[in-house]
Amino acid sequence: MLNQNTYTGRQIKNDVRDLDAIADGYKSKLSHEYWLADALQKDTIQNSWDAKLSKKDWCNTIKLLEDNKNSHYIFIEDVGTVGLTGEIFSKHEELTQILSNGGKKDHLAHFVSSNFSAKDSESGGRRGRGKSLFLISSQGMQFYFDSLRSTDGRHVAGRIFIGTDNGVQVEVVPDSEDYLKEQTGLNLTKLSTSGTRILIKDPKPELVAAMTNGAMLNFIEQTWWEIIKKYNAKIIISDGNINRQAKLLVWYSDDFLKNEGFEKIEYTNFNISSDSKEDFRVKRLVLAYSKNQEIPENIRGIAIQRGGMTIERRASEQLVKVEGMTKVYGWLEMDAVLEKGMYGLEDVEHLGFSWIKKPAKDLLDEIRIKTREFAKKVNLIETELSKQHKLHKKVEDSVAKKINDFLKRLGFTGIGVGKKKRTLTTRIKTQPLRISLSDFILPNESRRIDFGESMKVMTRAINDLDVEIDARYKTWMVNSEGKIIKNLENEIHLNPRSSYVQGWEEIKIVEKEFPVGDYSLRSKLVLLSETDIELPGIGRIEKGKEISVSSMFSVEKDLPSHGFIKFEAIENSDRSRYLTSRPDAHSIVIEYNTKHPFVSILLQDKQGEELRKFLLQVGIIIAFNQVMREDLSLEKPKVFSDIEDDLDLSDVLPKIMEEVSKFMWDSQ
Amino acid sequence: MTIKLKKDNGYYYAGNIEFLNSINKRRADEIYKYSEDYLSGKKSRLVKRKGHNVLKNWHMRGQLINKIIKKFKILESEKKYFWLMLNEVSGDPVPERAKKFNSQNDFRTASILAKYAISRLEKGGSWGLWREILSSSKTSEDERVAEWIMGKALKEKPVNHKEVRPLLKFARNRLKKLDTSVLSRKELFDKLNEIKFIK
Repeated sequence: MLNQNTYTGRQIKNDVRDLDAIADGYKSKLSHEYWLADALQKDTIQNSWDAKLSKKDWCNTIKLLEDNKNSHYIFIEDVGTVGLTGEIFSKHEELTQILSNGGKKDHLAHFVSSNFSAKDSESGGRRGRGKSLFLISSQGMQFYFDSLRSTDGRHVAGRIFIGTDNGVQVEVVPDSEDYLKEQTGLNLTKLSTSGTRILIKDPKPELVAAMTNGAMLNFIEQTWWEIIKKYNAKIIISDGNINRQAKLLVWYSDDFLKNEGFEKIEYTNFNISSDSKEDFRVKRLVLAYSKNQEIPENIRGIAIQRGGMTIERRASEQLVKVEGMTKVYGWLEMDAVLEKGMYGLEDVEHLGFSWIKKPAKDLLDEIRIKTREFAKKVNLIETELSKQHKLHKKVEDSVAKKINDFLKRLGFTGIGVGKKKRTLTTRIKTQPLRISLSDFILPNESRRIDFGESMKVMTRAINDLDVEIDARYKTWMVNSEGKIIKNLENEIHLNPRSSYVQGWEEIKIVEKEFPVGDYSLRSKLVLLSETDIELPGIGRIEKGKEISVSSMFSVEKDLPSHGFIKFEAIENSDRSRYLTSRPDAHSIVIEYNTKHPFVSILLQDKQGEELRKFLLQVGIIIAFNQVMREDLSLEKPKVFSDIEDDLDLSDVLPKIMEEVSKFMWDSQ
Repeated sequence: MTIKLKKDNGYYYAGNIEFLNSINKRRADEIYKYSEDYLSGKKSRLVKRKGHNVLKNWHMRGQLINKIIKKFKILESEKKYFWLMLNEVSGDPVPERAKKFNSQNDFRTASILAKYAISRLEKGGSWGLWREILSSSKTSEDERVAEWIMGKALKEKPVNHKEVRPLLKFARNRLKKLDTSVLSRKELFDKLNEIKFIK
């Protein structure tokens, strides 16, 4: 029961502690002595860039000032931005009302409040961290601001500081053009173009040092190179004496990458996931290899760009674990839909993404695959296996098949494919209009054929419908590069319930015509008749409809295996390389190092039994690790659903081992 | 018929090389040289022209390209090499995607766009939008599909990618597993005009 002594009121908050916590968040992620300068530049410029009126006229200046009492100030000024627009208020209630209305254009109200950012995914910022950083930057925890608004030409100024109750206090003064000058005694001119100015009193010494020793400029150039490159964005740092404009880092310049010592590849506009409803696309992934020059440490890795800024850099040597990868660097730009998806996974400090959930997980897999492709291209990875490894291929394939069959039963057929929904449908019956390859006969079931052997290649177009069908009928063979080896094409007329056969009675495999490699037999009907017939699985039987079949075979080699996991032997003298895994198209490749003493001793068993046991045991653990990664990235994980919400790392291994145990139990 | 392309430090002839002879070689050399002089010379002037937006610039490039196609009677079967050659002679870096899929080649896109009046195209959307339309799988297989989408898009006046994607998606689905090369223009457009859900 409430009575006359009841206290009700807003909870008292120690804002200084909150600010300390925010500072700790940055400090732990930016583990260098100038973390504050780095954080400040990122948040400040991002806020300013988001508020730009046009890319061309935008400019941001960060200056170090000193007054006649030797007090320092950091003065941040932007030009060509909207300014602190929105309703001007004079009472606390009015401010509360504006915030609860949630208007995106009420920049002033959001600026002076906490945790009420007007930002959305299309902008760089969120939750208004920039304001907190201004307070953190000041030894006395206070800063001044003024702004000329683009919307109504009005001037607004004020101060944000820590009051006596350790709470953040706000002072807003409308239409006072000389506010900053009056408050600080600094000789500051009045604002003449729309924009906002921030004046941080008594900046922390490490911030002053970063302004004068060039560290701040370096951070800006590392973070904002994209907008400097594309829009010639003007960002100026001044230590009070010299103005220095941030320049494009030469490593990101297109001309620089044309130099002889570089190899570059650019993948543009590609989709990253096969199972998502959203169309997540990468606008550009650029990878470069510097043959001779060492890449400076601060730009090593693949810069992941969002909203024109580098959010984080993924280390190249972690993406592909081979020697020399530190000489590979690059950048990735996303399209708007992917930026939106990734924004939801970005940390509040704009310093990294959570790479566990989709679309980040799929994006990272794609970066790994493409980086590996590139590493092969520039010969950082040798593709040929030694003869000895080829002998173990059979063991690898049989173990992979066993694990893959098991994972298939759980619904996992490949990475990025997700858990397949199994619906209880009966198999579609043999189609009445089809091509049969039953007369494509190879010497053995493995679909491997060697030189000197022969095959029968006859394909049959079958019409079991009650109508006549006219069609173009093509049968051809291609190699893995798409080159046509043999080709037949006829226009045919199929009477109701009839068939037509074409092909080659006998083809003898000779190296000149069929060099070692993978091949595909393909056959296609293109209908030239219109009908009203709809067939399940085919659709309307109409003019232009293609009905096709294909079948793979290999000459003088085994067919490549498919499935969730594959094994690959590697030779590496690095003591830390024992077992590693990497994504490859829709599979996970488990690499085992044959130079590792523990593995090399297993290979002495010529029967391959020791290797089989080893691959089975370790393969299933690594496979389950990947299954878990796949599973947890889904909206509703199935296998690991109980550790979905609160992922405790100590839960991971026991959970995997439970599933592994079940598999090993059944495999004996 | 063949097209000359760069390889390592030299050149090679791509296309129907079974019939490669001195006449074909000479023609390929001429196409290369002519395109290099014609396109790079004019292009550099185009790029320098201030106030032109990206769409206008590519449209003008497309017109130049179409003149080359007409002059040398470039065959359909040669075009996938021809686009790559244009990448080389223009001095622009050749994007990897364009090497693999000629539908992603900007010179090809420009050539198609140049068949339309710039004023009409500008009403429809930006260079990026047209590029997306013309590099989709079905539009690149059959130019008539691009034509239908462009006609539809211009009619509907789309202003962004979001509005045009349903059209592309519809075309992709409706023509799935269809070889449109056997269809007449009317037959193809009849199938595409089955579209119902676009306003």
